[in-house]
Amino acid sequence: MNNDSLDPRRQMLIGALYEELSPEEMSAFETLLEDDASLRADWEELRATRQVLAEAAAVESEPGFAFLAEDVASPAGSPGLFARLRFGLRSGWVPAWSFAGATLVLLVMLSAGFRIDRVESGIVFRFGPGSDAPAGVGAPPATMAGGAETLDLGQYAVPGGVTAMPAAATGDYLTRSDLDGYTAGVMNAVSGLLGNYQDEQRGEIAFILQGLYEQLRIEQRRDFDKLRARVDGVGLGLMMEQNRTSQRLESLVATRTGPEPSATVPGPLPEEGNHD
Amino acid sequence: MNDRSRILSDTELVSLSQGGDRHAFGVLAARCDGSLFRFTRRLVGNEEDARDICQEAMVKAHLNIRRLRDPDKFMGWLYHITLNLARDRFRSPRMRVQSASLDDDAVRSRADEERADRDRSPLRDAHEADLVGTVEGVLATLPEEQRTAILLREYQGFTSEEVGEITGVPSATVRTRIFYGLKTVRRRLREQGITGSGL
Repeated sequence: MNNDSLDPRRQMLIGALYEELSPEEMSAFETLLEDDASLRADWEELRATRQVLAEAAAVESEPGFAFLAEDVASPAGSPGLFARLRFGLRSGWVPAWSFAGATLVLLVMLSAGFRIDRVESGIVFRFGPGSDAPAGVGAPPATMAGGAETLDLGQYAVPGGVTAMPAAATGDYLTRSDLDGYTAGVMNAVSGLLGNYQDEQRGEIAFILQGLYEQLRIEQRRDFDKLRARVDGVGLGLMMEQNRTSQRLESLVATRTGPEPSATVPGPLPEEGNHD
Repeated sequence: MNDRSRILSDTELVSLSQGGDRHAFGVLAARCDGSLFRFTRRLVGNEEDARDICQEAMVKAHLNIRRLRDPDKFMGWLYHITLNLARDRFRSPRMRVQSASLDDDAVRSRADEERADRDRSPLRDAHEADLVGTVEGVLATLPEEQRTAILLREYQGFTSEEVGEITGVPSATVRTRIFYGLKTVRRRLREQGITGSGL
């Protein structure tokens, strides 16, 4: 079936079917219709098909959807879900919260006594009270030594796949390349922490949004069911009322016309004009 | 909804929305969300996806309404957005599987489901429920472009020209799609036992 090619008469047929033709075109089409039996057959078929579609549409149930616009969905004074979403997208609050979180992490680290010490094998991150004892060369990535937790960048591949270089054997002096290596290590560690924090944030946001959306969906469904039940109830009441009215009407008619004559003992026929 | 919203036309509401009036967009959305949902439900074949698509379409429309040059064309533009979102879903593997499985058996089973759903209401006439379910089932078997053209022209009341603008094809192509689509609908309705006069 080629969707792009159609006999011009059929094109006119569709135009006529949906009343899109000008009076002149319609008159030309009617002439064609009289002369062309197959066109006439198509015309009748498609008109009947449209009628069936219209009948189906007329009895279709009401839709169970309403757009959750903020003015409609949220109570006065509180921002709607839509507003919150838009605010989130426009203001870029996810990165802002990430930086705030990172700052908080740094504050916590400082309050926990975090510091960076230089040792023979490189550089160590320490938590807890200071100790004069140097960390051992080749210590495991995280060890508890003298009550302090040590993270040795000389041994530890930080997130991002970059391993901090151990300090060069330059005695007590820190060279530029050492410093660059330590800086890279620290930056990688911090960016790793930030990345983890952002992942956590994204997961939480997705979870919250999913919950909100589920709740909204449930609310919509419940409202729709309530409305349908109400409509059905009203309809049922109307039907019962109609039945009662019919019964009353029948009893009234029966009272007016008197009892039915018995089949076995026929009574005298009432005379005309003597019903009152 | 205030008094002002009752007398404003769609075009005026669009202009207000473009000026940043969120309430105007809410009124506009309330006017068209029912018909948009019906269209989308018929297009994608289920209420869940239709609801998601409509909600997303409305949000997109709201965020981008300033880009709409001609406020008179808001409805067509909204349906265009909706159609694109629905097509994105059609392209997803899940929807392709769903769409491909809609053979004649699926149509019958869909009609049965619709019937069962509607028969829950004591006031719904069984014949009507049959008719709605069967017609929706038959429409679901049409190729997407024919179904879209019929839905937009037949149920949403867009002209062939407007349908062409929404779907991005000439109006002659729209008429061709409607012609073949209606022919198929007629044949399948007869197969399903719907025998109205002239069918």
